[in-house]
Amino acid sequence: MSQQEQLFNQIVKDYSEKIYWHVRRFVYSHEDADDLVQEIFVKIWKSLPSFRGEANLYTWIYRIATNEALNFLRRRKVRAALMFQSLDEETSRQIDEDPWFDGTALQRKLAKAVAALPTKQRLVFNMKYFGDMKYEDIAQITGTSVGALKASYHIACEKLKSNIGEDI
Amino acid sequence: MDKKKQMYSVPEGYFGNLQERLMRIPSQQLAGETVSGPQPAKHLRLRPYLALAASFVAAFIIGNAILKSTAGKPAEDYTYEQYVALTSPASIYNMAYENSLGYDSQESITDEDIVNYLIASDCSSEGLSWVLAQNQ
Repeated sequence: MSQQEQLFNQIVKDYSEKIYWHVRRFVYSHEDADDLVQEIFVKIWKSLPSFRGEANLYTWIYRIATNEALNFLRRRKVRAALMFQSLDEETSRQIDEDPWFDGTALQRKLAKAVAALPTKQRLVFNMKYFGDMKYEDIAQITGTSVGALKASYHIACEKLKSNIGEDI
Repeated sequence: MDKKKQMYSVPEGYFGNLQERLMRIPSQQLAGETVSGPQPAKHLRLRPYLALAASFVAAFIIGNAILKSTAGKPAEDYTYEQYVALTSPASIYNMAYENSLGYDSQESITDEDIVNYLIASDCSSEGLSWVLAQNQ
């Protein structure tokens, strides 16, 4: 087994579950998350030769995962537009019909409210609130300043609070 | 709200199975395969784009048909008399008067001819009064 394969297998063991949960909050469907995780790890395998250690492995992997998730959302938006469907309605329906949704009614309401946020706010909210990530790490992953992230997070929280009527 | 509570669950044994599948990526990539399996048929992938193209073509055809049915005749298809009906009564009178100067007396247009023509053209009574006043 080559060095690259050994490194890749270690990454799979250490990060596969974390990456799954990271993208699961973006796509609202277990099947889509599963497809996306596989695409992400194919990308990681192909990009490993070019990884020179200029970023730490954690932020490098999450950057790939986040970019692939955003690409997935963009493709879904285009597909919805071509089929003359409302993306918000489609997402809300997916959350309602998800057989793997295990939360309370309030959490379902929260999931729908988060899904309705603009992409950047949704991104930072998912990573900060659900992922418990530090602003510095999110900044490296997204290429946004810590100040801008804090502002986005604050605005997202205010919108969600007014939407679901509860303290986040 | 307990944010630490996971909102989603996964099938039993999913992550173990996931790791096994992901660890096959290097050998599949080296062998030129893809992890996700066969791509959907080309016509299925193209279907949304074909639907969009078809809707543009339909909109063009329908729009064209509506425009053609509601448009007037081309300018060159109008007869002289039809043009005249669209013109103001005063300019008709002036034109007829000027033309009458060079006419043979047997073919000259009389004032009565003009008035009858204006009435037949649904000229308003105000317009008619104005024309008659000009003639006096």
